[in-house]
Amino acid sequence: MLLFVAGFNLMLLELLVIRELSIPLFCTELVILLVTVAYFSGHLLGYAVYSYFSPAALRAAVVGAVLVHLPLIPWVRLMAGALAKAGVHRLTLPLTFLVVSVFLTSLYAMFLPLAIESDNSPRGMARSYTAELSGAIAALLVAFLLGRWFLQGAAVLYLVGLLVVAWCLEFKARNLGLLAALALLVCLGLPRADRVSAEYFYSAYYQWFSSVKILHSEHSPYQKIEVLEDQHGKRSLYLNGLEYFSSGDLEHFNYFLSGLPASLKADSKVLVVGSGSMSSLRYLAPHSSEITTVELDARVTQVGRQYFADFNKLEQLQVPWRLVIDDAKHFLATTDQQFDLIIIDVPAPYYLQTGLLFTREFYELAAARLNEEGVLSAYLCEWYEPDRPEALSGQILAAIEVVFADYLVVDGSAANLAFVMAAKQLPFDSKRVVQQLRADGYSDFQVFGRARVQPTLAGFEPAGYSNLNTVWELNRWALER
Amino acid sequence: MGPGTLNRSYALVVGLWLATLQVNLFFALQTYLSSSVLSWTLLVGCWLMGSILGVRWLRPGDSPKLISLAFAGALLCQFLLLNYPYRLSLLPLHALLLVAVGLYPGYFFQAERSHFTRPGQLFFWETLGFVLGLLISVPALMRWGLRAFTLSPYGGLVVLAMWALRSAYTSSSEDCSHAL
Repeated sequence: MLLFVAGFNLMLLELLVIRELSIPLFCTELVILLVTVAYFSGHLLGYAVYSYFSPAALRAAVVGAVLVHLPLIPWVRLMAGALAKAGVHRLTLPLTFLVVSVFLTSLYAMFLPLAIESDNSPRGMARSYTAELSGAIAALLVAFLLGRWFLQGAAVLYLVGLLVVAWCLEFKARNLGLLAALALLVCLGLPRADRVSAEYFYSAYYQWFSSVKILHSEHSPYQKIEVLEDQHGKRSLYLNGLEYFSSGDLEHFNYFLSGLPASLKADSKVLVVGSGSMSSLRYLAPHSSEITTVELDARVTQVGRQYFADFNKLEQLQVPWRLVIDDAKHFLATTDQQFDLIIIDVPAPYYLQTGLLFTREFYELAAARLNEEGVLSAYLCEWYEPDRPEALSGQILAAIEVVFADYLVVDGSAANLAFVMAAKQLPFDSKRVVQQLRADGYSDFQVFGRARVQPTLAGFEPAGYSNLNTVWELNRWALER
Repeated sequence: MGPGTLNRSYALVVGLWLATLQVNLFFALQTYLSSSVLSWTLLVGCWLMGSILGVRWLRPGDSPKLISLAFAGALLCQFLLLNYPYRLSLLPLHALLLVAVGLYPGYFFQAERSHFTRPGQLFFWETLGFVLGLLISVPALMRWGLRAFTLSPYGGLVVLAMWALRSAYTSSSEDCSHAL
């Protein structure tokens, strides 16, 4: 029983805490890796010191676990916020690493070797390890079944698990009762601590907030989804703690990525890859005959519809719109539909999975689904330096160069990013793009044709499944900032 | 090099290989099959199921066979992903292959238990290897993507070589002690 629960709680911690603790550290692939390493370093510590722990010391550690493990999430947020305010946010990562590796998993790691040593039979290892692995599988199953209620459900189950551990360690009935009361207090206080600490973290960490209200927070199977409202009532969608959509400044992003190509290619059959917030639809609808959105995370779309309804005005859409919940690569590879315009509106390549959507192979999948005069629109994750592109945009453009014979790069200062429109042969030229931008009220922008861009790409290996350097570059930038 | 060092090195190398294999296989499955949570949960579950089968029902003495099975399973998985991408109909086959790959990680602990005086040492060295494997394979994927993935199963050959080296050393030590 003890080992089953240890395996169960370890898996819950892995699923819950690694993501949660990565968020205050600016959640990227490398940060997730470092928190994961800290998580396993706790195992190492447990395996190294278990022989020095008496039963009484183990019992004390369980009491500590009830007090520390789940409250660790709000504590780390408060610490990250305070350090950010003090201008020493760089300290958050090493401190979190230290806390996680010492306090989080070391307790559970002690139970397995202790159990094997106490069961000295030749099959002792088999029995003990099977129990722990079965607990891990059970937690996976529970996490899958809990779905969007994972955050709340996992916290309760985790504390119940700790009480079972205490019972297995033969706590006296009175002490067990006290521990249960303590666990109940933690459980009751956690939602408030969770919200308050998250609001404090966001307002301290991001300088554009002076105060923040969290309107919605949940864990989907893919990410943490939060809707924030700032001091001016402006709403933003945050995925894993990173801004994904804001009803203010990111409107320009939507214009350049979706509105501009749609207005240049009127009456199109459009595919939007990503854009779970649905924010691009209002820019596309006036110029499209039909829109399909393919999004991996159903919860993001539901939250987008619920909290950004005033902005997106989905109910006023005058065009047929279809939502497909699928992996974009799988959808593009298996659908038999063709489109006039494909918009790649996915999060930046902070993760390997999103990095795959900025590659030659992915653009090839998209190109195969474009009609003869079809256009792909994507963003380059940074400014475009006309004489010598930076590594990120250089590699993405090199991938575009391999797949498409014609493209235009639009650098829009209002959106703080550069965008690319690509096709076999673009049905519009740079003059027409400039005309459209001016007509839509933009004056500070630059447009570069392929003839200008292509010579600057020498030396850049196209981003591809075998070259995910874009992810590396973005992660390095995030760590250095 | 004493037998203790060899045992620890072997556990370290196994941990390192398993982390590399796990990270790369799951990356490739999400790249070429689906990123959906259903497939991820199923596949992680299958790996763990394989480990349970390995530790519970297999008896010590089959290490080379099971390392080879894990190696072959990973290669076959790789072949299917690269040649038949995005076919969700192959999900059961991938699941079966992951059970086969997962057999050795479970079996390893049962087989190696007798080589360590305390089980905690065995877990410590394997986990240390696993952590090192994570630290190597995630940045490697970021830099080289599928190139890193294609190489990952071949770590199994290093594990096999380490196992053979340790067996040769152990038997020659035993021969020496018998002669004495």
